[in-house]
Amino acid sequence: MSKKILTLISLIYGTCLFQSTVLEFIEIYGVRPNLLLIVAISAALTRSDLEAAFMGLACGLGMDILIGRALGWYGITFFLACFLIAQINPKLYKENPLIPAFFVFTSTVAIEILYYSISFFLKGYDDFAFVIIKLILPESLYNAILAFPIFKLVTYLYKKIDKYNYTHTRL
Amino acid sequence: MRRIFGSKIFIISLVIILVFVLAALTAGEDSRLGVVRNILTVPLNPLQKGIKTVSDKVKDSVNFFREIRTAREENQELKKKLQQMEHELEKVYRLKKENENLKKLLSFKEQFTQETVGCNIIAKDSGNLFESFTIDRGSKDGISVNDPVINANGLVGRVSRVDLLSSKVVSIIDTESSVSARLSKSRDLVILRGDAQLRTEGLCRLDYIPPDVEVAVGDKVETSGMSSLYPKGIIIGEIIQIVKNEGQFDYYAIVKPAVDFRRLEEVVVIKVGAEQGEQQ
Repeated sequence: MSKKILTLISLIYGTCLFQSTVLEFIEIYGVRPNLLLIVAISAALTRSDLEAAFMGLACGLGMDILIGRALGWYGITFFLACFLIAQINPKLYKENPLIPAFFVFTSTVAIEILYYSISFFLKGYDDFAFVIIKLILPESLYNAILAFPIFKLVTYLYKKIDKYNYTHTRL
Repeated sequence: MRRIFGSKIFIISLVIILVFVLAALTAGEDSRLGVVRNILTVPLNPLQKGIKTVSDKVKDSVNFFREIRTAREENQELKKKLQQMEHELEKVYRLKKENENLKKLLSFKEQFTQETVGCNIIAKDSGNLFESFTIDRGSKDGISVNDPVINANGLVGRVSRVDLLSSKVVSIIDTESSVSARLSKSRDLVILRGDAQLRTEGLCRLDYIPPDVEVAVGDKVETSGMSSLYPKGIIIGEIIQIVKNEGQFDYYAIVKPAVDFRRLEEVVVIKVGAEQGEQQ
């Protein structure tokens, strides 16, 4: 159990590190993907609901810390998104690369638009359309493209963890 | 079955309430609970620095061959410029002497008496809606929240969060930033704001220009010193476009900051907060 938590924590740390440093070089037109969100949604597609929700919470809080505003916004939204997706994941055929791409795309759009509309209502910027077309949609597309490889990586990691747990509980 | 569902709902709502409490406690910029962030930022700091140096090396070696070509042209241009500058420098020396004398006459105080600290940028922001970055100095080096951040060209932004070994800087083109500014020529007070659309081009906008103020393209903008955040007289940038809306009373202008945010590597933090703390 502790090995599992350690692996997951190092996965989140590694993703945070990647997100804040290397991603600068694969930016396209000033838009970069959101690896933490992809990792959280991948976990939601493979695990049971509460486990996925807490994975989402951890990724979201990491995102909050990286951005450096008040803690909690991405924490809550990732948490809820992961919980909801994990509710329907037993019904999905996960070998299809379009499934993670679709879920990552929709959740990026939902989370970022929600965030922006709140700051829009609080401060009233008049370029809502620009933000959606030029920032949120490209980011969602970019995320969707990266979704399948990262999903594969996360499922591989979870398989390893499960195998380890299985052999060690049997002994 | 029903009990399990009920307990799940209970766990979910408990977590949401806890996160809300956490959000409320960390929302203020100088909240003590900000220490929580050190869990992530302190272990990340050396790794970020390492990746930064490696990637800089790679970038340098790639750029080396490209730069040789442009270096010769640049050299000639710079030689010409140097001659001009030497002339100017003589003038400046004379003006400096004059200025000192006049200041003495007026018993003016020197502006930047505060201590400064040089920092490297070690990580960029991870979201697409913001424009902020991480520097490699934190509360250990005496940096505090709201310290102004500048570089050789002008104003960069302010410190928004301080962790033990690193800090977050919000730049002036971020949508959450607003700076009390002054037009260098006419000495009118205006407000400089980040704009989501202009941010992607590295620009920001000048708001609430009263209709009776004459503004022209090319006017310089500097900090006003009216707010307690930024010291007076730091260069911000120059106006490149004036936008007048039909039927609206005031108009706004687009400002190109003197700092190039795309190529920012080193910055200087003025330790205003530390000094105020000492005085208190």
